[in-house]
Amino acid sequence: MKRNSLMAPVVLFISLLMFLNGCSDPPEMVLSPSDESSLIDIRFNFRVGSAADPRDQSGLAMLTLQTIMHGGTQDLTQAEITDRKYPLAAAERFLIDRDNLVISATVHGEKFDEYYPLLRDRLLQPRWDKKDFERQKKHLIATIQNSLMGENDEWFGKEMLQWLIYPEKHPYHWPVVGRLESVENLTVKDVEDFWGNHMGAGNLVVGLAGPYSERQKMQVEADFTGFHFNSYDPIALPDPKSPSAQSAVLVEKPTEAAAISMGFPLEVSRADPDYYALLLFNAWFGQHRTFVGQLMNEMRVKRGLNYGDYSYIEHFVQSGYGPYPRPGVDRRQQYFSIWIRPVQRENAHFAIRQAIWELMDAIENGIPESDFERTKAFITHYSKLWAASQTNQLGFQVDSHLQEIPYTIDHIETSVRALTREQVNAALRRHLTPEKMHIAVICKNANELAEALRTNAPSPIHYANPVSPDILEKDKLIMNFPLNVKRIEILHYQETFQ
Amino acid sequence: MHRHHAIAITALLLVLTLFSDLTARPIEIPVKEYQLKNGLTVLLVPMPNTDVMTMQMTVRVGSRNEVEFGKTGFAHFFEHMMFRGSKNYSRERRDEIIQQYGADANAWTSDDLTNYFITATVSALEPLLAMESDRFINLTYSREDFQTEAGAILGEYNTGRSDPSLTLSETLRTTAFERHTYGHTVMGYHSDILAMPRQYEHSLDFFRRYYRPDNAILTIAGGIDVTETLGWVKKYYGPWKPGYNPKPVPQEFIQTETREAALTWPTRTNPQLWMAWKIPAYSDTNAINQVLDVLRESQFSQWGNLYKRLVIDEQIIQSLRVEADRSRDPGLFTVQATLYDATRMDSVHHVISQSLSQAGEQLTQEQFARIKDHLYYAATMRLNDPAGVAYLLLSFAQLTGDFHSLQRYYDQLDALDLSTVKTIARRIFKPERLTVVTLKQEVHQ
Repeated sequence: MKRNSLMAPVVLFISLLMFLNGCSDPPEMVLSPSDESSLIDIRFNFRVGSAADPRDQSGLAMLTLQTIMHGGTQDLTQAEITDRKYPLAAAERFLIDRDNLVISATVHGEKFDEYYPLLRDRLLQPRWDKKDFERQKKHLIATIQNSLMGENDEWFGKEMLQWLIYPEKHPYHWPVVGRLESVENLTVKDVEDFWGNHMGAGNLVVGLAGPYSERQKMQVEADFTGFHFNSYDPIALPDPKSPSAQSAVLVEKPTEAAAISMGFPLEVSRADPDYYALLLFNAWFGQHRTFVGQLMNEMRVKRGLNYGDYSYIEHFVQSGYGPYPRPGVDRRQQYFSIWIRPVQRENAHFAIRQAIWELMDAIENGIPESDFERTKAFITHYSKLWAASQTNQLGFQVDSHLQEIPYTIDHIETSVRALTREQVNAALRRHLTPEKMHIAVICKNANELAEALRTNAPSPIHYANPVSPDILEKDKLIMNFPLNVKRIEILHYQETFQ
Repeated sequence: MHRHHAIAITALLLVLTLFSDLTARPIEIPVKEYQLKNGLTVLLVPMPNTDVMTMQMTVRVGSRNEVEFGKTGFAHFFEHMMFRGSKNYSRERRDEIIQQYGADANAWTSDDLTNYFITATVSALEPLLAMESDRFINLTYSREDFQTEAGAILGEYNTGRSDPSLTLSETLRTTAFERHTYGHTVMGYHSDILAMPRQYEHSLDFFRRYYRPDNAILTIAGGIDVTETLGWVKKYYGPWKPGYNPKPVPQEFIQTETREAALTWPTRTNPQLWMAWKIPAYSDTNAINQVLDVLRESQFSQWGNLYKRLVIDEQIIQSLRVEADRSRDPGLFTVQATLYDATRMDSVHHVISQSLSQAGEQLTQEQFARIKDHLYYAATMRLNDPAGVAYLLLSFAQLTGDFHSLQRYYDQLDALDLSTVKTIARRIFKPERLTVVTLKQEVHQ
């Protein structure tokens, strides 16, 4: 990092301001100075998310963040902010999940001083213009009604799975975008209150990376010192309830293919050594958007059932168009899940059976000796790609700061290298419970599927083209494999997030 | 494959960088360009501050080349078949190697190209080059594998089926083009996807015809040693035999009037209005694409006039998405507007048409300068990691076969004046170049 001696008086002045600010605490800072990049990344990670939405106000955190980021400041209107930001070409992103609210930006180093106040002042002094608010509310309502429930069955299926895993009183129950009725009733005062009560120095971590100066760092620290509150108690979470058997929610919708997600609560966090055993297992069983997973090979490659089949040991959000996990979505409670991308409707029952069959088989037999060391090498190398850009590197640095563990990518390497096959296989048996799987399906003719699940009717796979005899032999086992679905709920798609 | 005598390369050795003192807006990428004797263009970009590298093999074949009846979507299908193994690397062996090195390996297909990429730590470069080259030289797959993969294609089609954008896109292309292959999507028609299992013989001809070094560009960016990497590229890709033999792509008829199509949708959806004007093919010798990018920014970016009016002030549009094709043959400038209320469709149509044809007149010098700044800084923002660098380079190199097109684009943008913007806007945004597709939710009695 460049340290210019001429900056010393400025730094001294800012220090004095911070001192005069009295007993206000500065936000926690994660710093990653580097002269190797021409870009500066700044990241604001508030440890609050949609879990803090009051029960009748789901979508509040989301609407608050949207109104702030697409609004103005006390001094500048939305149009004036946009006008000043435009030639700087800063990349601005915001992301909200159940326990995190992240705003990040990447900007050319030489433009940082012009850009930073435009972001800072929206966070510290939002305009709360009624027109900005109404526009964002209208947008959010259309997102729930049309994008989520109408147009994107894969997203819909994933949200229905979480709706099922976390019962109605659990703060994780509703999607971050909320449900229609509650969003329709939100007011400007509601979002302003959320900002005042839930976004402050006491739950903020600021990350800074790239060729920033000491002056710029101190400016950021000073600006957010004393912001709203110095301490924050996150909303308490009830223990996740594990069902006694498998359960399903089937969403009736006039759609050609069936979108399937399934999963169950998982009480393992990144601070837990078993997390790394499960990470290694998952790399072998169902790594997101790769061809190395068992699920992918058995379901797509050998049978051509669909486009992809993956598994996850924590809530997962893809980073842009790439297959890597996006930082900033860590949760206090996690879940294991399997994502079966849309299958032909007549193969839905078979696909559900096969995914559970494959998981049970993997748990029973563990990772084969022949694959173990190779999978270890895979995940230690592959995880390095997750942080290839400065932006993601800073994201994982902030994540690991919040989780109180060493830097995520290094920690994966250290932890995974130390694992034995026995430890991994034992961890699977300890934590994975497919016999208690929750299943969410978006499909047409939901009643038929419900009946087939209830009665454990045989579910032969329908192939368009011939496959080899050994595949057909295994199919016979899968099509009669008994599930234990004790509770099935059928909903019409328009009533789910109403 | 280890025939070293075939490795000789032309000593073009054009060690070039993309920037020079003559350039007002340099895109600073230290590219070193080579051409193998077999015609393969090789672009190497050393980035000493990273231990990650990406290698991208761009084959200049896409849905544009699907000229035979009933074969839409075939270039994309063939991309899938490239993952089914080769003579010296079975599918299983390939997966093992990818696992061993923790690589991210995948591909994508567009109208004009098919791009195969592997991103990994740089220590894996040589074994991955050895593995990758084998499938371009010695691809093998069984008829059964070919038929099974067709199921995955149908699955991919199904992932987007609940989204009306797929149907809108299919209808827009079919309506806008009568002869040219841009008239179908990269995914292909549903009926052609169902028939794909019967195209095994066609796939063999497709590979022989298009997957040739003289129709490909290899870009490797990251923490590489250029001399060492070039040696490996010669060794592994040298034996690839040239013989690119494309079938002619039919030329599109001249459109003479506005074309229209109307769709309905069975589930909840916002009304959509898609408007697309025919635009010329990309060329280094004119600034038409630069003008279209300026107009896109001036009207449809968050800072643009139409965005401010329709999204921010009047709040009658939920989202505006605009694409100005940079394509090898004449393509489309497409506006995708998602409305809140279907009764506003006609007025939005009118406003967009009017604003685009007059956009050049409305633009001030100050706004024009801001757009130029924005486009330049947005491009250089992509130089953050090896994949970003490689994509920026190949996105231009695939159009003309020459990576210098990237810098030429920004040089011409810098030199562009307002009068040219006005002239081209008037010429492009005419009713006789326009195709309109609307989508509304079905009304149930």
